[in-house]
Amino acid sequence: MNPDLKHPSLGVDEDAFLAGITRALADRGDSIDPPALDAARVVAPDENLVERFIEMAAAAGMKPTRFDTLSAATENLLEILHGLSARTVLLPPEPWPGRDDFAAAVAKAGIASADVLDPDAAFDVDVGITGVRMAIAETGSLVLDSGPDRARLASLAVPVHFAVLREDRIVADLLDWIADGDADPPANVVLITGPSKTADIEMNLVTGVHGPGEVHIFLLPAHY
Amino acid sequence: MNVSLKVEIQKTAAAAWARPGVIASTTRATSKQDHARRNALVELGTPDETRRIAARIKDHTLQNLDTYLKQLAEAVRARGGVVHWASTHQQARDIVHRIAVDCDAHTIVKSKSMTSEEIDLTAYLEDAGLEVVETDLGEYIVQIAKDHPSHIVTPIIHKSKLDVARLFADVLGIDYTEDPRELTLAARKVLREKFRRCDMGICGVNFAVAETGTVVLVTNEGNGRLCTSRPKVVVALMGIEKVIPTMRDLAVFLKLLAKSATGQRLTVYTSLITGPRRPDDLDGPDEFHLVILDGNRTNILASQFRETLRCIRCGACLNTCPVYRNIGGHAYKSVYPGPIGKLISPLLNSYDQYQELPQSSSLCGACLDACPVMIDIPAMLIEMRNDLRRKGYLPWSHRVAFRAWSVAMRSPWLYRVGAAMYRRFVDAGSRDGWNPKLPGPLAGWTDHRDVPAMAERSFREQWKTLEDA
Repeated sequence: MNPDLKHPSLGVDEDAFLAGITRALADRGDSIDPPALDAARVVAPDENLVERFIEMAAAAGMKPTRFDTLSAATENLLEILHGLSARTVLLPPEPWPGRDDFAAAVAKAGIASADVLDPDAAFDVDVGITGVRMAIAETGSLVLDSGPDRARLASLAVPVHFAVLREDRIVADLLDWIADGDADPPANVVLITGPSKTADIEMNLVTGVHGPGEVHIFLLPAHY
Repeated sequence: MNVSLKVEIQKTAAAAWARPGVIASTTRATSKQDHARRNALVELGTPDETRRIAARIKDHTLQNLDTYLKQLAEAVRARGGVVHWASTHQQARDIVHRIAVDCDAHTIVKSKSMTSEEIDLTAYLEDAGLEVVETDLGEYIVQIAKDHPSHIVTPIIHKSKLDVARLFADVLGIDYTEDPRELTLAARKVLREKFRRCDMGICGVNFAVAETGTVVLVTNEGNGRLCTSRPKVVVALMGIEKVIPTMRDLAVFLKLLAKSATGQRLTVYTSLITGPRRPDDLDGPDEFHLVILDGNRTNILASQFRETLRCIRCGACLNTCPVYRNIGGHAYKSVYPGPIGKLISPLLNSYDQYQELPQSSSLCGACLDACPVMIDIPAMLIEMRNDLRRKGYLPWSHRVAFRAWSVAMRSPWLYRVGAAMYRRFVDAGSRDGWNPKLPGPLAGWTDHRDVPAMAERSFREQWKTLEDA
């Protein structure tokens, strides 16, 4: 991808390095087959995944809310933005269900959208709004991909993150998420399970360390 | 005998006890995390089965490590990343330094990495004139305090909020406050400016997936994700044992890692990085480098201690260990403290440097029960003690004592005379069945505890009396 790299590989020769490991394994002993993984499953696909997801996401410190209609969701967004006295949002152009409605509602309320091409935008705005590729009921996690028209920092460097998720995108178990995205993953995938937090100082929980201190999840019905 | 390390361990542990709060903070935090781990693992339904699966994935991978590392390297390159191989610490440091020079980096942001601690990377780059900023809150505090981490997951477990309050008032010049939230936000403010103008990022690797060339990084604060998303050049550093075969295997380890470390279902940010940004991505690094370090691990692979390479650095064995809780992490004089540190510190460095560590265990087995990949730490410690003996590390006094013991045990006459002399001379000062002071070379044993005195009449004597009656 980057043909201008000055040093393709520094350090020891790969073949020599690996030959050293092969020598160390000269006596490999009986072959150990990779195990079957199904016994590690926690959540069955036929459980109520929306309920489990909401419970786990809330337990992780995020704020999940279920909406029947898109307009109810955008209305609620504006209420929260008003409560936060938010003046700027970062809303990357990636397409996701309902994105244009959210963008229109924000514009109508007089809240400015930051320039997505400005690399510092995510550090300066009050709020970031993104879609979510999928979610995991087992742990209450959101799965976000990098890709065209998406900004990694829009869910990370902002103080408050709104994540919009369609209910049918929830999978049961960590094992299921990985089966879905395996062949050729995007450059960056993140599982988000809570607001940014630390307990380094005497085990006191503090949120909003480097990433968002608040994560709002808007769940939309499958037909959107 | 390596007297200096033994003395150092005792001195550091004593110093930790002498400073108010150090052992109390350590005990409080480790107990809390140990308790949280037990509660979290129950959610897996059959946690032992999941642990067995994880151990087997690691054993399978280690047995085929050459194949999986090659697959990993090819997959990273196929996605536009660069792979560098380092046999030694010095080679690894040089590679990272060279990358920094080549991309004209001035400010390097770094997320927590035990492997980078192992090779002392930050100090090396700073000596070369680069600004390196630790961005994990605990590591940042350690860095500006010019201290060392005392735990592999929670680095400032030995510090109180008063320590941090004084440090921040002195170094950052903020108004004195003991409020953890205000202290955290003060650090955030400083570190965000560093993130804005950084030109290179360094991170560790929790797992590297061979089939896709994906590097996996978990953090709670989001600093790991910032270090790998914001700068134009990202360097990930891993030991050879971090590779796992597939993405589905990753799911099993993710189920165990956070639960074992802090009792969370999952760490807040699990980042999966597969090469540099793609052409249409709005942000992300232009260059992605993966540095793969041996650093004595190949020797461990070939030895009877291969099992120790399963370790996923969760810290559960530290949290549950009665010795760690009572002496603190600094006493181990190693980057890797606690039960697993007693094994891998001598293995990654040398017996000459760390021969005392495998001796400093009561072999209670709590670490084995806690380990998510079921490393049999007590059995490995016993094997290492044997290995030390075979390689001539046992001090002459121990050799003489055990030889004498062996002779006495095989001769009823010698045994009787020996026991009588022990009762007469060694137990002379005992009271109420306890001997408060052993003589000569045994005195160290009774520095901190009493030893039960021998019965006044031996079992054989009592038996004889019973028979005669």
